Amino acid sequence: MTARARVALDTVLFVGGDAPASRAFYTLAMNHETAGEDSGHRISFVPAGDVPTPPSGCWVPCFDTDDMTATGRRALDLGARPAGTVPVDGRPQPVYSAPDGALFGLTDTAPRSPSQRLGDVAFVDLYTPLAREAATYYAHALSCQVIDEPAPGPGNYRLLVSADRPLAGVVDMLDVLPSAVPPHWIPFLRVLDLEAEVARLSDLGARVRVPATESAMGPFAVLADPFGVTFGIQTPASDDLLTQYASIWT
Amino acid sequence: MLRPVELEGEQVAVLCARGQDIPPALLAFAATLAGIELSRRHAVLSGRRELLGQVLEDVIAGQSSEQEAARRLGEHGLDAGKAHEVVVGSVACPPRRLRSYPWNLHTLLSQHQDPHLRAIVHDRVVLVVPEGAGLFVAKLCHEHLTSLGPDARVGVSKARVGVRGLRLGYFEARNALAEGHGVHVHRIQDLATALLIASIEAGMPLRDLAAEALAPLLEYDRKNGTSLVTTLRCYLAEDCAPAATATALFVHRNTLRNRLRLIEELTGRDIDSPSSRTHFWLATTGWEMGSATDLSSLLDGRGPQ
Repeated sequence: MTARARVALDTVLFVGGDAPASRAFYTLAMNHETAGEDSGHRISFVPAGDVPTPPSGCWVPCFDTDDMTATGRRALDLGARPAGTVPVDGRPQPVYSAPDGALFGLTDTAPRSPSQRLGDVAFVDLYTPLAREAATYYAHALSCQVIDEPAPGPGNYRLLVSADRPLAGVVDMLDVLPSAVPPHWIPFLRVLDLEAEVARLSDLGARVRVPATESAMGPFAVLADPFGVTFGIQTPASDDLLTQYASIWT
Repeated sequence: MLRPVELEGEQVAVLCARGQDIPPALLAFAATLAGIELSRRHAVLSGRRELLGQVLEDVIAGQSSEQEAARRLGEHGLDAGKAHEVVVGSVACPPRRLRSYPWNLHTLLSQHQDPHLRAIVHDRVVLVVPEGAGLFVAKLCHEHLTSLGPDARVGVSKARVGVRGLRLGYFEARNALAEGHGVHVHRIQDLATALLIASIEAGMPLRDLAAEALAPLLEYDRKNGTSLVTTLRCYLAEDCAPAATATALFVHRNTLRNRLRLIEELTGRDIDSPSSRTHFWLATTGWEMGSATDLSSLLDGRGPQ
């Protein structure tokens, strides 16, 4: 593995689908305008371009690296394929298809300062049937560490950590979903009152996939938006727990 | 092992038990208990909705002052100072069913009040939601209503601020609902009909309603020192005859033509269509009247001569 560099979660792209309708829903869901100028992980809604996506769209996390060219080359050398480009802020953003088929992007924008703003994307989890292989792949491609089972839990969970900071989670999809479901990323929006938010989002047409549930990573819920794309919500308690696990195990 | 949990005759959840040798009777008992607890919470929420329904009925009928109505709505969590959209839904089913229907299980689980104001008013479900949420809420509301009976229809208002905006929004949504089966959003072209219903049913002063209908022209006149509303009023008073109108206003016919074109652009209406002329006549006549004048006084001939 090469020398460790700073890698952090940057923008989360919503690629494809009905972008205006999805933007309208998530603007309401996040309770503030997306793509603001302030810090925090934001969502950008972009057309699919030549990137193959499901009809309802999908989430693509973009990881910020010091050296996008080198990281991109490494990602390809380790088995990713170029999936195409999408326009982000007027620039073409390359999107990669990891060996398991999940999409991700790389950026080299200025790093965002840590924020716990409500409504922002707090974290992302990868749901894949090849959890061990995927975690190993990202560890090498993004030069980060993998923590197996950072806390006891019913499922198989791995935490990707870069410079003592949590980067993403990797979930063994077969614990909760049938194998026919393709690997996919789920962003978790930060909310204060989990159950009230589940009720509010349900009123907007979201379907509850996992109701408000306690876990070692803090309370969370998973919903599908009115178009069928899955997203999660969690509380600031998860920020603290994830940071704690990242620092304990590295 | 799975067992359905029912509330008001609807299956709202499934109780799951993992493991061997779980007595089916025990699981059935647990599901019944869950249903009873949900029913208790549902009764509390229904009571809140009844209270809110009374508040909304008063707001719609204009039976309390703006300030008092804003205060009462505030007690139910609605900030009347923010823009809201009104969603109104109807379906062919007994009104009791509409009142008892479990609209959102997660509200019951969290034991919070409804995320958005929801009440039954005049046997229709009425929701007041933040700006931008109307269509999402309306689609879901239509899904629920479809499960209750035939001819489910839902109307959505445009976003409006204040208690008066809420009243008008209700009539806009009701008017949109009259479009027929499905979800319909209020169109600005339909404002005249919504205004008429509001004036007839709620006695809303015509001048208030006229201000809504003429808003783009009044705004333009205010910003640019023009006299589009006066021009429009004069044009209608002269039976839409350009020569007579130009003479009455002491302007060249080309000036008049430009003003009329601008009025069409700003309002999105064809000034020469019969429906637009009715719309503009009601609006300009209402605007000239005193603030307390309602539709009946206009029809009685007590308006300006």
